[in-house]
Amino acid sequence: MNVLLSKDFLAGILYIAFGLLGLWLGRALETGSADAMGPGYFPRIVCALLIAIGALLAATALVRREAVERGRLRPFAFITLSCLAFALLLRPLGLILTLVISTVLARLAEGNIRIVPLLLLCLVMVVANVGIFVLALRIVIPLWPAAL
Amino acid sequence: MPDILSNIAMGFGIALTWQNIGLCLFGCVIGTIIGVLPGIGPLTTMAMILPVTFWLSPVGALIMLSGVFYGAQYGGSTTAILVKIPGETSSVVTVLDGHAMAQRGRAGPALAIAAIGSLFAGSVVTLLIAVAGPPLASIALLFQSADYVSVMLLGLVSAVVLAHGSVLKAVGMIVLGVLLGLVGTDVSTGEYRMTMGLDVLFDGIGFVPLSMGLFGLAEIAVNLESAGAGGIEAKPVTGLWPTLGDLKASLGAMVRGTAVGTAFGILPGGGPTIAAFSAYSLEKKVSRSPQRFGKGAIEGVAAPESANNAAAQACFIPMLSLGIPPNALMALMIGAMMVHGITPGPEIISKQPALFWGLIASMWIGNLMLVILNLPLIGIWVKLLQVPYSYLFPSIIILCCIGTFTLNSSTADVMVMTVFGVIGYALRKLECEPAPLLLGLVLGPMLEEYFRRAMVLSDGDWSIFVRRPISLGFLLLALALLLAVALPNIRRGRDEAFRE
Repeated sequence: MNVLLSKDFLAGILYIAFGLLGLWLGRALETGSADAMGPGYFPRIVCALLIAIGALLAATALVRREAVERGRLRPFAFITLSCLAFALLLRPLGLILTLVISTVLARLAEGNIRIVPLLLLCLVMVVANVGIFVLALRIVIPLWPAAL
Repeated sequence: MPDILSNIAMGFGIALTWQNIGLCLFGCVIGTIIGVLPGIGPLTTMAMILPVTFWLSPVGALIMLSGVFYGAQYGGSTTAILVKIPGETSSVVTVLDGHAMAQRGRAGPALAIAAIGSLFAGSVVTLLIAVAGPPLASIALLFQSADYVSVMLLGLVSAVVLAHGSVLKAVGMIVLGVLLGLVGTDVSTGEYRMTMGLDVLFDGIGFVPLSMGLFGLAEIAVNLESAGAGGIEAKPVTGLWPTLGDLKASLGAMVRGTAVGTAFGILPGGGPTIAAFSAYSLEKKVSRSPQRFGKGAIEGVAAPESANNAAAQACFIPMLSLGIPPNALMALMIGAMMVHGITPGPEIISKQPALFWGLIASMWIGNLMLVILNLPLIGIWVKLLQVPYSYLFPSIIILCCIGTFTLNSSTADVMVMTVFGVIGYALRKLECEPAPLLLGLVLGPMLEEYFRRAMVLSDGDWSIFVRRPISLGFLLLALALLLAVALPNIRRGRDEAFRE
């Protein structure tokens, strides 16, 4: 099996990537000295530590080669889409339409869909969420598109 | 002693108001429901209802959140016994003997012993928090910055030692959590750090969006890949009452389970799951007839069920008396306190006595409620299992979205949650446990602050950490733990404890 595709190697690379990203994003921060630490002192230590751990982990992959299990793209993709839709559509479309769209997208993460139960699920989601968050907790969310 | 009594009386005064009883009941019911339902854990649920608690008083919020946590320990055992599916990871061992008893038609006594064991453990530990919390907090007041740094390091080290799977990966997850915790405004200089210029990150990465993405969304994605989405049929329960012999046989197991559970609960990085495993293996070791285990030994139900509830409550001890969360769930409770403007730390007990004693009293009331909820109403909870996952999971996703949104009325927070859903999925696929990350996230900023202060006080002299005896003690303890996990036979024991 290819070492480059083993769990430990990829996890190590991921840690290194986060460490490098942290260093890069914080590149302008002042380090200061131990008795007068600047905002960059502690983050740099943490990033360096994370990179070191990542490198060590990637190296251990040479011994313990375990491939990543194949995932199914569908559940992951639709769950992400459902949340993205909620974040992007709530302001323009209002709560009710957004809930319906997000619910349908979420339900698509899993197969075996029948239309009547799906519509019922949407109805329950709208009634429950509008009831709890808008009517009971009085959160200000527009219910319908602003144009209407 | 009379001091404690009057404090407990005050606590009951607070916990027994109608509003707080209601919140406690609500938390326990939610906890039981998610305990029964496999695939959704207390961490996810507590993160999801966190936004709702902002409308409550701080005491009310903590009472409700705690109810969810220990309620899940009760609920998890129900499905473990009746349908051989542990509702929570902490009930995995209960499956062995609990389900074996159910197959022999003794489901009722198994459920009753599980509930009685939990109540026993819950009552003992509640008392322990009341007795041990205040003196511990007064010791903690002697701590200086350097000591805090070392005690947090000890906590992080033992979180690694007790985590599941690769040690190196767990260390990496904690460090990653610390790094994520540093994003946002630097407390000392007011400078923005690593925010990429995004407004939503100026106050730091939100605790709620992160945990909902990492635990809620990612968990659903992984669950959908493996499990089927249908409902499950359970066997009917007849005859709840255990015999006198059952009670006699389980009394010792309950006491030992409570002791083991308390120890693992207080230990940083511990928690209900490892407590239940350890209590079960201890029970098997001390039993005169270990061959009965796995075939319906009642001690095999009593010990882990007492242990997981004891641990679920004992982890409040370091959280309330030191302000340091021993595990991810308590990190979430600390997050909830901070949202309500309460600074966690040893001052809580003296400055917010109503909060501390009210919470403790509510735990006892909650345990009593749970026994009533779980025994006579068992049929209702079992019916819940027939709700297909295909309706459940879209509801959870929607609740995650709207719950995150309502925090700050910000759709950007929902985006942050989505991003962490993706990261969480990748981490899960690479077998990186996300719980240590949450611990790092909460401890990160505290660690930096105390580290900075310690270094300022010592004029940049690193030896401060070994010159202060308290700090040195914690560091040595951390070192001993690290060495212990490196020893091969202890390592094997740890792996065995986690084999499911």
